[in-house]
Amino acid sequence: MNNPHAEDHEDATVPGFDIPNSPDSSYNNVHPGNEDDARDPPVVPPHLQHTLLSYPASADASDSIPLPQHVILNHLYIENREAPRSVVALGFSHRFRSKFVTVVLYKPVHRRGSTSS
Amino acid sequence: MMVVLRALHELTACWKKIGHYNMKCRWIPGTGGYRESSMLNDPVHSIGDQYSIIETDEAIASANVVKFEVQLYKARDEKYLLDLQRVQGPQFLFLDLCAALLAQLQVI
Repeated sequence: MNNPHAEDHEDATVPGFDIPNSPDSSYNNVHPGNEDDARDPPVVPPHLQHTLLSYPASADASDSIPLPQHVILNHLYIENREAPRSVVALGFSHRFRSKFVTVVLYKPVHRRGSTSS
Repeated sequence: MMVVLRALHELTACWKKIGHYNMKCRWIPGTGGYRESSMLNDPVHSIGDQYSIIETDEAIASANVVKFEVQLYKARDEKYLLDLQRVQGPQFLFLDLCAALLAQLQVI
């Protein structure tokens, strides 16, 4: 199976052992029933807090950044800053072969109801 | 959770239930967008329009599919945490979609 996109190198696959994608029709947009909402959502697991991006900036200056824990890979991080703010930072760490890549995107915050002048 | 699903629907993303308060979602850039009605000065601002050049090539469009999981957790004090995890798809498209979703949820 030939795929020209380099993106797929990120997942090391053995030919013949590729997991087929689930059919697009399985994404049926069904709203959860009432019995599902009866119980509370699960409790927040503590490991989600320990992302690379949540480390304070001063600690990163001297040493190299520590390796990310595998449990937080591909989980979204959002910068937690006091309002008002004009830009918000979103990012996540993912694995590329034997290394880790952290991607950060800065997006402007659209203030509602304000006029641009 | 219903609020999240409504926001996903606004962004023309599809989902299916995987587990307890856990959805796996799928989004193709270029297949649609959302209209942010509150932006009166910029009436047509659609996340889908930004990627309209991609949809002409079906091979590229299928390679740009973003799949991600949404999990709702309960934190302390009646607060809830929404966790978004990328499963497949280009990194920046995922981040841009997350930004659009959080804006739709009025969290950003």
